[in-house]
Amino acid sequence: MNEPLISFLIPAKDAENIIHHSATQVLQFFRKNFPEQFEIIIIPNSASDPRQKNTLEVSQQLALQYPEIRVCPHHFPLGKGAALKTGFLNSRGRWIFFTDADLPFDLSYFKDAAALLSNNTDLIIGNRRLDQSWAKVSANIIPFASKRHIAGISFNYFTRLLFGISTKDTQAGIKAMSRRLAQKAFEKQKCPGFFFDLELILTARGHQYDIKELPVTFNLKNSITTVKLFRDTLLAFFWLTKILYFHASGNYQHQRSRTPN
Amino acid sequence: MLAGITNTRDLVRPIKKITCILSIVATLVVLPLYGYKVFTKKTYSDFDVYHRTSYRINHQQWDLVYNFKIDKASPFRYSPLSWPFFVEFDDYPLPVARTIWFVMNYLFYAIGFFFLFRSLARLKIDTFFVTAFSFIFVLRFCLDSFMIGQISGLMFMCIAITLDAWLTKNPKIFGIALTIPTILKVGPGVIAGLLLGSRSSFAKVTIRYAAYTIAGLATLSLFFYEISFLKYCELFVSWFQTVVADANYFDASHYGSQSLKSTLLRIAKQQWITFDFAVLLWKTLSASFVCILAAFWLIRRPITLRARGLFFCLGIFAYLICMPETFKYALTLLAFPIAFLMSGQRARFENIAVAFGFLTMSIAGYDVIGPALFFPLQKASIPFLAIILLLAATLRLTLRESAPSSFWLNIRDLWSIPRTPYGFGLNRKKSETKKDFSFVIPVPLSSTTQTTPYLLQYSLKQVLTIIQRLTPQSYEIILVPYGNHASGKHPIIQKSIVKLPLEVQEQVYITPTLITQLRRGAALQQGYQQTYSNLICVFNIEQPCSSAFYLNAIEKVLSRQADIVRADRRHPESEWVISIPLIHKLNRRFNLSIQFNRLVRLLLPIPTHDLHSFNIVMTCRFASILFVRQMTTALLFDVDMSLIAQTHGFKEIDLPALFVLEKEKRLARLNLEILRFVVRIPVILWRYHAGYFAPLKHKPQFTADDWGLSPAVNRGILSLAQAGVVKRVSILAKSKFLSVELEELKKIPNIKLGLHFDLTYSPSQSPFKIIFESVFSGKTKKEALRTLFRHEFLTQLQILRQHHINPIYMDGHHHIHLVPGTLNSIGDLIQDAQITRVRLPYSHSLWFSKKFLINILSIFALKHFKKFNFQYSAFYYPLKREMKDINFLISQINANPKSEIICHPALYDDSGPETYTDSYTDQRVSELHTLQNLAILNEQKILPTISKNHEHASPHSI
Repeated sequence: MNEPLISFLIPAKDAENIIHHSATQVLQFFRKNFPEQFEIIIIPNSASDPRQKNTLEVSQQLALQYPEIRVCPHHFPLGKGAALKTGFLNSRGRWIFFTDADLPFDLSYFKDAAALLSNNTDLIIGNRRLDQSWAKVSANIIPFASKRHIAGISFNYFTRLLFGISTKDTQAGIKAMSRRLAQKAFEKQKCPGFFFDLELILTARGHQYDIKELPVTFNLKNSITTVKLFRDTLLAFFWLTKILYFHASGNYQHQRSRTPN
Repeated sequence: MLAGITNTRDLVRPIKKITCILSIVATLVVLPLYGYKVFTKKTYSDFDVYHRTSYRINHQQWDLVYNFKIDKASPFRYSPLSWPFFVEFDDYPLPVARTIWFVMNYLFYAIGFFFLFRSLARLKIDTFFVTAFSFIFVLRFCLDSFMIGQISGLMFMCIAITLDAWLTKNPKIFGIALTIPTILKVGPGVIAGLLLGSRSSFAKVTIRYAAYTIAGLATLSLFFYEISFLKYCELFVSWFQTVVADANYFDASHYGSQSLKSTLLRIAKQQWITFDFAVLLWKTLSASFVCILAAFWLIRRPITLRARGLFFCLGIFAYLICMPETFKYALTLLAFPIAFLMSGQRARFENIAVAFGFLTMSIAGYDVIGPALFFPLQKASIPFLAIILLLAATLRLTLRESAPSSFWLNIRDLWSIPRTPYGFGLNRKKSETKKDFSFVIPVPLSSTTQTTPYLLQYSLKQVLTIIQRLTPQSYEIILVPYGNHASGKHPIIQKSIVKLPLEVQEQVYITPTLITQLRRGAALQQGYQQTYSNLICVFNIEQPCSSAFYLNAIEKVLSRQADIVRADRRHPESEWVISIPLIHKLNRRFNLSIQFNRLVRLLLPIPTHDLHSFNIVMTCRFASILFVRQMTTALLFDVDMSLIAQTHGFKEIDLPALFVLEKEKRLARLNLEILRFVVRIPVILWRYHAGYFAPLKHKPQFTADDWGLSPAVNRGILSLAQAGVVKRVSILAKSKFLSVELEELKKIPNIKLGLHFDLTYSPSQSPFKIIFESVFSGKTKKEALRTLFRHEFLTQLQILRQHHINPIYMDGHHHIHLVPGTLNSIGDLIQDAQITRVRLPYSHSLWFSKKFLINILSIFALKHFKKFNFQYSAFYYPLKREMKDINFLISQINANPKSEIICHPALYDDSGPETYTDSYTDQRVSELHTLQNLAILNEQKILPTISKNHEHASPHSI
């Protein structure tokens, strides 16, 4: 296969039941919209963990079945950000797309994102809080969705206050970026977990890359959440402080090369 | 000149011409004549005060600008904001300044009348004459303002510009132009009350530009007159104190003032009331008047351009009447109401009001009628009376050319019990081929609830999917635009229809827009009237749901598992596609509506967990009963629907669905809905327990009176008799139209015909006269009456027999058979005619109506019933309001199954000198429609066989 235009990264953890369906969905979408211009990279996270063995096996079967799919197991450190970095290092595409393994967002987002990337935009953030963004929610989890929405808004408000960024949704698990931005972002990545998104935005801003936002269609299927309130609040506090420190020390800024005296 | 005049029009034309010429001549003569008079004037004029004040301002004598102690009777009464209008006069000597001011005033009036002309030109009715007439009307007041040097010209011009801006809906000019007279006299500010009934965007821009004007004038004063801001503020306090002191100092009972206060004070001078009471009364009446006017502006909306002008003029009256003093120069503003009264159709009252005003104010000047008549007229407040008359005339016209505002309809909707619209039974489309499905889509297009192109297109897309899946042979799509912006030509509707395939476009019908139809329930009823199928699918365009629900629901209905299927938003398997920022709002509303639903289910036997989804599939059979019995046109229509389904034994099912929510309800609408719920639920609860929702348990036994009164009456009775609602018909034997449709009537099986014994229709006379003569006349007269009664009975009986009618019962036109002595006189004749049944119209409901006399007469007549052994049945006389409420009527029929109920239907209103002119003219047609609706229920054989049940069903695909 020639060097593809798009590398689509799918970090997969505890995803043995869904990865087959998700990967084939993505495959169908990209075959239809970007024929022969893409590769799909499944990144089974914590691949050395015996509990993730099934995810790895299903992914490998998919790779055998479809030439567009590759598997790049990630071992350490744990976390979505780190897994994406592994995926990126194995990717070849000029544009890097990623989303979560359960495909919570409508893939049509990537069509609009591709149009923007071809116009030299470097980062396209999926924003759930734009007026044009839609959610598909079961009637019985509307209270949960509402609470989650409020929590998200509160967190975002806090983040914007700390970092002076303008986007109202840093954490949506759907983004598209240029390779040059991905290169910089993963170089400067400090957080292996889900605050990688914030680092990505800070890097793009620090390098004055063009950032755009797109509305998304979000599918909230159930109220099961992996967030553990106490532990994750502490973790969030830890990582936000750390990222703030790196941000203040210019880690995410463009480093001008020193000229010799 | 008058030679050759043959009719009024010929006379009016020269009068109009003379008025126009006179106004032009007066305009041209006034300028030099009054210019000279003003220049040579030596005595005090109001302008001297402005001139003096301008000197003080220019010399920064701030403490003297508003100093009541020094100025006494002639203080400067306008606020510091008004300085820029006067301050430059200090540069000229007083006579020159006066003349400049006169010329300016002259120009102000000229510009004012130009704007009035411009405003009237929009009405396109005799613009030149009306402007000329209004000018002649206020000419004397204008001249007065020239001599006094008042600011009336400036006021007039600004008000004229404000009026023009109001008519052209220009909020910027409206705001600026109204601010200036308000700054000067405060009172004209009442016109701003018009904003209460305007769109909020208009009000916002007006207020913004008024604020700019005030800020501009204040800035001018602060920068050009070099006054500190603090001092400037202090001067506002001084101004206010001066105005208050002046109001107390000045004797408002002065003969020249024609305000409410002056009139009351003059009454107090006559010692009819005390002065304190007069002032208190003035304040109370003025405040009440302004409040009532504000309420009027809020609850009515003009429907013509003239009415818009008249609305404006009401504000002018408020200013003129409620001001402490209203001298002649202020009355120049009467030109506006006069102009609008004169332009267009008007009744005699309006003409009298204008003529009275013209005679008592415009003509009756000191120099014309002399002191002997002038002073008594002024002191008797005759001009004030003329102003009140003009106000009444303006109000009359305004009422005629306005309609209830949407605000008022919302408020009224809170407590009124909506009736089934007249003509409901008649209007339902029946002529076309019956369709397989009807898709009814009410489209909200109001200021509070506006659909979006996306939502309408989404709903239509679902209809297309259903059509593609089920491939019906025939179907119809009924779009019902409703709300205060409703129109079939609305771009949202037009653009959505264009996107449909051509063959589908042909099946779309857009209902005409009704003014009163503002609510979803009413819209659905209107949509239903246009359907002609056995199955009706209703789409809630605000929260449409996917075609899967309709496919499931249609299957349920077609397989007779349900009569009504509702999309349940709270079903665990239901899903929402929602704009993400709305999730939180939706959750809050969800919680609120769950509580609402719990309360409703607690109070009423309603099984559904989601009353207001409004995505429904129902059978035509259920729909016909629902819409006949519908009591609510708005939010709680769904409660009606569920209660009617339950009480009539229809089976309801709730199904899960996929809903789309693009935008959330506005807070104002939500509040109104809560208020409506709080007010209406107790009403519905009471009505439910009073049996208003109960099915019709017995066949109604209506007796229709007055056959023969007119062709329309005969045809109305015939239609109801054919429908099986009317069982007996009382015939006016001597009526002019007896034979119209009589043969058709006689053909109806089991119809009972009776004699409607008459003494008041032919010859026409008052029933009260007959009662009076029967009770109070002497023996001879009573004997003559007895002979008359017997003769009339025999004659009328004879006429019926000539028409091959053998009456089997008898009653009386206007219940005249109850008149004391009547039954006694003709009892034996009734027996001889083998009539055994006579009506005894005693009804409990009549005791609390103006027809209570019928009950009294019935009680007195009872002994004659016993004497002659006449049979009579229980009787129910529905009152006018009861006849309009079909549910009440049904509750009464159910409560009195064997009672005779009378009605007076007519197919249309053909009352007139040739037919009848009684008080029942307008009620007959409405009675017919109520009974036609009753006939629909009668036709439905009422109780369906499906057992009462309700269930939540799981979805399954077709």
